[in-house]
Amino acid sequence: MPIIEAKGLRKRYGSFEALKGIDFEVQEGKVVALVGPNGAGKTTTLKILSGFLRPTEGRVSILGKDPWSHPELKKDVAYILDRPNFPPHVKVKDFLKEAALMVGEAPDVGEEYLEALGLQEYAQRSFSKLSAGNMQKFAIAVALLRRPKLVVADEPSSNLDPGARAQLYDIISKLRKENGTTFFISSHVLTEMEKVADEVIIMAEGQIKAQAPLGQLASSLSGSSFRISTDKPELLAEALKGQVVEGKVMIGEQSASLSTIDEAAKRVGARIISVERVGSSLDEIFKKLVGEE
Amino acid sequence: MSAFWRFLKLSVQEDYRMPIAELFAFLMALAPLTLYASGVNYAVLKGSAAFSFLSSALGLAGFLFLILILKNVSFGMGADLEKGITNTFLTFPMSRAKYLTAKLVSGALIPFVMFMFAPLPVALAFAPHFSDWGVLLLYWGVEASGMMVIIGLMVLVALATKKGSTSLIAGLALYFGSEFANAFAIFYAERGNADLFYVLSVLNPLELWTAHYSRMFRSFSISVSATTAAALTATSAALGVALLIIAFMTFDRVIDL
Repeated sequence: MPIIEAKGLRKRYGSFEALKGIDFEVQEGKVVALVGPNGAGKTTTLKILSGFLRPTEGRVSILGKDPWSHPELKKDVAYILDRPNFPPHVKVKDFLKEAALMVGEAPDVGEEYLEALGLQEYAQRSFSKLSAGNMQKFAIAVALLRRPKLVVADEPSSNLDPGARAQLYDIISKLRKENGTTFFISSHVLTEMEKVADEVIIMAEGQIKAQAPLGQLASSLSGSSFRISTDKPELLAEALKGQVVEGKVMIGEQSASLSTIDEAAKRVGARIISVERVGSSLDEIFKKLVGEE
Repeated sequence: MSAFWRFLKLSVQEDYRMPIAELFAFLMALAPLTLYASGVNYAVLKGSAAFSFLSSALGLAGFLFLILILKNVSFGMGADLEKGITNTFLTFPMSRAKYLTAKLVSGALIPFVMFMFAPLPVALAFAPHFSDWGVLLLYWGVEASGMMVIIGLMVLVALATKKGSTSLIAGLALYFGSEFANAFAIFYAERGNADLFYVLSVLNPLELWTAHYSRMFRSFSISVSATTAAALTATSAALGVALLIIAFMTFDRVIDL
């Protein structure tokens, strides 16, 4: 059974339709990245998963339950909010202790994450004295201390410096490996998602443009784009209807494959030195699908 | 302790950070000292005399109670919705209804308990023979029913606008607006038309009982029977409860965060 299942999700704000009937599933133990430009509907999707919004149409289930009407899910499901905020006059250590107790954990369980995220020195401060970046780190610590089965995170690295981002992705990898935690993460930092995501959902204008494992998506979208080193680039380029770029044959036809390259090389008597698949990075795939330059 | 009690503890910590609770409790406790200036000798206190004594002794404490509630509901609820702090708390295993209950216990019930008990020792020091506890209970009940209406409306405004400042303005406008309107209503009532007075008494039922008991203390005379005062107070309480139920249902079932 998928850990997240969304069917026909629509969300309207007045006449504006933020989600236009999206379907997706997230399997247990996966890290799934939800990417898309501003206004794509990512935050709306995550807010529906968090039980903060009710869909206008369609249904969503997390661990088989509707998140709006089952707040007890939040024992096993952690949400990291975009721009998180905390009661300004409560001390960090007091909140962390109460947060641990609220989810049935030992009061000191959060200290491990404070340390992992370099927040120990702020433990005695109140939230009003924390920067946005440290608030974000603290939100991550609070989310993870419940040892969740699923983490739903909205732009979790948006306020973090590069070092903290690296720490965050280390934690994600560790939790996934050790506890089998599933992550559903929206982000604009596509290159970083590429390091941790198994699957990608690409959204634009309230619709899902693609959902697939990262590798599959890259290969299906790049088609058979290859860069070929050969002793007869002009002849091979002509045979494959490609181009010669910097002495190498570039072909990007959807129908091309290793066998057609091989056949064409034999036909024109060219020797193949190397064939390199021109893969698409998450960034390139994203741009291709949503038409961004 | 469940998530509810943990959250309530954090809410109390936030609403009453030093020295808010201490300052208000101190001011409420000393509020009855205003009686000293009046120079009235409260020797025998029964019925209307007891009510009049309580109005004088607890009036300022009631106003302080109102200020505290306005602060707590607008900052504790409206501003939390505005800044996303509500969302943070709802990422814990706690229903929206429990969230709102904890907010109202922290923001309104605790100030009411302070209002009930903080001024009492000093007030009773002025009237050591006070024994009409029924009138004291009535006074507390009437004050609570009027406040429930204001709190219910403020919470609804906070939920609708998700802004602390707007709910504060709404609360202040409602309270002071009703006080001004009441002055006009009394003016007209003294001239024979008490309809507006009765309508507004739903917002402030204390005026009904003041009118009921006041013939010997006030220059005007609006004859309000105990039955009428009780019926309108019950209406006020029912309206307050209805507004709070609507607030709970709206927050639990409708409001997008």
